[in-house]
Amino acid sequence: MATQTITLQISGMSCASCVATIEGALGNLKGVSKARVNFAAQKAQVEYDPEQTDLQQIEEAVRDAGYEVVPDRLTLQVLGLRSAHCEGVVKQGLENLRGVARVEANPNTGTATVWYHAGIVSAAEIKQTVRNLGYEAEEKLEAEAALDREGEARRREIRRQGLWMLVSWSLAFIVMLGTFREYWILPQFIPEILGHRLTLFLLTTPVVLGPGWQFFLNSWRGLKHGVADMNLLYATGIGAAYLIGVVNTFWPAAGFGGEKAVFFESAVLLTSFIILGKWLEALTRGRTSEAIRRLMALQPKIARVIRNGKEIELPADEVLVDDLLLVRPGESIPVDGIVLEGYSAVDESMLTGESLPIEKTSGDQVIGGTLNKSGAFRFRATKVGKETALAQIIRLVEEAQASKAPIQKLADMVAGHFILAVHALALTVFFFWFFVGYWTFFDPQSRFLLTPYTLGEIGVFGFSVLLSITVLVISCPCAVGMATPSAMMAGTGKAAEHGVLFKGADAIEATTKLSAIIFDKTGTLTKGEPSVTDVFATDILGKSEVLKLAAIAEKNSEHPLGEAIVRGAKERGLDIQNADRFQSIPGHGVEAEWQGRKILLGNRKLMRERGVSLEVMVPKAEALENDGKTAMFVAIDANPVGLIAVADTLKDYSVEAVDQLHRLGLEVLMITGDNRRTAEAIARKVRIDRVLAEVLPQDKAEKVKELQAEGKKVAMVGDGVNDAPALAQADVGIAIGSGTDVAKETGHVILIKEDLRDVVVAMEAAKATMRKVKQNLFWAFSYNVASIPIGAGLFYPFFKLVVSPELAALLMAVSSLSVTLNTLLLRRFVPTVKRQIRVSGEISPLEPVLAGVHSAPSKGRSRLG
Amino acid sequence: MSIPIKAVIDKRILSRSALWYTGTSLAIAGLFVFLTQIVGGYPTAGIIGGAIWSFVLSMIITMPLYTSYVKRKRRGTS
Repeated sequence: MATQTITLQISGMSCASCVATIEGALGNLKGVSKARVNFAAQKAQVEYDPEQTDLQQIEEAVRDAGYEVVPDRLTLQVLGLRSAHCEGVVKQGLENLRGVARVEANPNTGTATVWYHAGIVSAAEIKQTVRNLGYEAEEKLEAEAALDREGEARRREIRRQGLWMLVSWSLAFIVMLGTFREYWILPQFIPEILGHRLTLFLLTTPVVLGPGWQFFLNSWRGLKHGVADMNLLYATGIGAAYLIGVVNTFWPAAGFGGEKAVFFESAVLLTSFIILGKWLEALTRGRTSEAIRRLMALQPKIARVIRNGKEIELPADEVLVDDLLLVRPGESIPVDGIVLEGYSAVDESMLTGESLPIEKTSGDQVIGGTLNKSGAFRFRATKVGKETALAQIIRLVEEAQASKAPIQKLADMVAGHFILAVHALALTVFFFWFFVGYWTFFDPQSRFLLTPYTLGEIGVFGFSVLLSITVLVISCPCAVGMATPSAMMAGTGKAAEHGVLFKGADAIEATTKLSAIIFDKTGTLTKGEPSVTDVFATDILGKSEVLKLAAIAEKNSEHPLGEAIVRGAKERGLDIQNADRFQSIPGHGVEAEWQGRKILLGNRKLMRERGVSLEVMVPKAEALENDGKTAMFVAIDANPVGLIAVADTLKDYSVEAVDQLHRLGLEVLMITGDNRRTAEAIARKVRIDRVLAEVLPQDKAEKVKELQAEGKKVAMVGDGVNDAPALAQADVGIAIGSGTDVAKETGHVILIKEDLRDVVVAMEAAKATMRKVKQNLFWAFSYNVASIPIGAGLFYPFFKLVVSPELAALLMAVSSLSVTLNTLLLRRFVPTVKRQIRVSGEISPLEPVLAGVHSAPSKGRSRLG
Repeated sequence: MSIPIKAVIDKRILSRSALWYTGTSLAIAGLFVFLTQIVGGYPTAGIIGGAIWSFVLSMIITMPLYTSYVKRKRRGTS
């Protein structure tokens, strides 16, 4: 049986170690072959056999592990839903739909609320199902406002932790005053009762059992499934500090340090710091996924559709292929399509990174989600729903963000085993200080780090357990677990903003290791269609006349060189009349008659056969051919009159892109089926290092393999369809100018527009992302390597200082937060190309509104248009 | 039918693994008490507290290890 893959939005993940908990819970489910959880994206991708398990069991496993699967919500106004019978029909009909988690239908209000998984079923399918049941369904607009589920879940988490923080910090402040009321000037202001251990107990208990309870609950749920997570570290630390406090409060003679060692301030501050850390993390975490939310926000909600000659407004996801749509100035284009009439300039910067608005007129493609700037036009829908370019881009970015880079394996392994290792270390530390350390090194005058307070009469158990708790609290697998995915998430999103789509985190990592890059020539470095580059005339006629006569001769030709001459003449505004007689001479040229003149156009052989003398023109022709151009001789009535050179021309920015790649230290190669002379002529212009000429299309992958055998890490840049085998063979396949079919492309990196400089953008974005990953991992590992031994009391024998559990909690929170903040610096990433554009005064794609106001539209710079 | 069978299997997994991790944790706590007797001079409260702390930490370490081990073994044989 074929497996199915679903992507679920998960809520309640508070730390990177939750990844292991959920993956463990799902992995233990029979029928689940693969479960991949991304903490940064708060998503789980599950591959399962539908014959062995189902969505319900998967959801149950996630819930059992202490988390929630967050379904999408759709509220429908259902016309005709008036009775209990209708309610049953609608409910049952929708519940049978795969991917629908829950349905509530209300005959009194005529509404149905559906909770569903967008990865399995779409809102449009749900509405269609209701219609198939015999009712009319319209989406209620307030449901659309809840589009950003992930954002909503995050806001809920921020609110929840914010509330807990308010409670815990208010009480923590009073507990601190009570605990230290004997010091400094505090006795004058703080009543004695506040320092009483019973008061401290009453103030601490609500913090441990209120805000702190989530840690006990979550760790128990994880343990049940055989997984240990970060909550367990918190719960053990808080629980131990609190219990010792309780014992010393009610049974001070029990021998656990007595009434002077109640530790309530540790329990309360520990909880407060952990919650502060969680709150700050929730606050900043969502920012790393801003790019994808911005893309989602581009999805238009309303479309103006012309049906039966009338203009009606419909939800954009209800537009059908071949619908006729109208777009007015300032409106977003709702779906992909082809312009039928009208003229406008469209700002595509949000999808392609293209800085200037693109002209759109009849026959041009438009992309859903882009902004119509100036004129109104009508277009026919060609792609709707999940097939639109925007939907495909969002899906690709989401998939990339959910994927894992090879570098993450080490971090995952460490984070996955971290919790148990830390508990084992805490046990070892306890044994050591209990049996050896306390008797050898303990000094009653020793102090907590950064406080003036001495440990005093603490006993062997109290001291040993204190260091053991500190080890539990100070360690931070969160930072290790967050280091890679958060940077990958921010990096893929940032690259997408500039029109570069990485298909996975592994593509980012591989891109940074490249040593050589091969460009396909035709259609990649060059425009892929020949054009007239030079016209040479003898004394008999002028250049324009030569070109005009050649175009007349070629007007009916279907040969690419002939078409190039006709196009060249038209571009120069020449009047091209029909020849009176035309004859093609295959492999040589053409012969035509016009107004009684015999026009001959072709190669040397044809001219010699017809007795045309070429002495004057041959040196010029050879010079042009040495430049990789095809020279064609023109003769009138057997007299040589001129020479026309045709060549495939370089794309804009080819030279600039290759120069930038050299700057990045890459060897740049060109691969082509052309003969070596032509290929080398082009290569010289672009400053290519090495040419692979006369390579048949089917042998391109073989050439890539040969380079890899030389030990090079190779990227191949080419057309995602024609060069597919070579792109797949390369370490990184870069498909260029893929336009609206991004999902169909082969290749690990997809460039939306046809700008070769985006290859450089891809390299720079990958490097910036990996730099951030390495910085994060370095910081996270360094923190743990340094802090755990300090927490365990390694330096106590020398300095007589102990890290208190509350300081440990603060350090842990700071460590986790610093990784997120460091990742957020990626938001400032601007590729060199864009920086140069800014300096030279062009408008940045990040400022689409300004771009529309200040700049003239460009034409044809993107294959999309 | 599948849900009751699944529940029975889950219960068996849980009870079998519980037997192992509780046993191991008790053994570690016992080792702790044994060591205090060998070294000597520890207050009773310290011995009790230490035994409880050793037991709790051992449970936390061994519970997920045994549970996932038994589950993997069970899945491998089923």
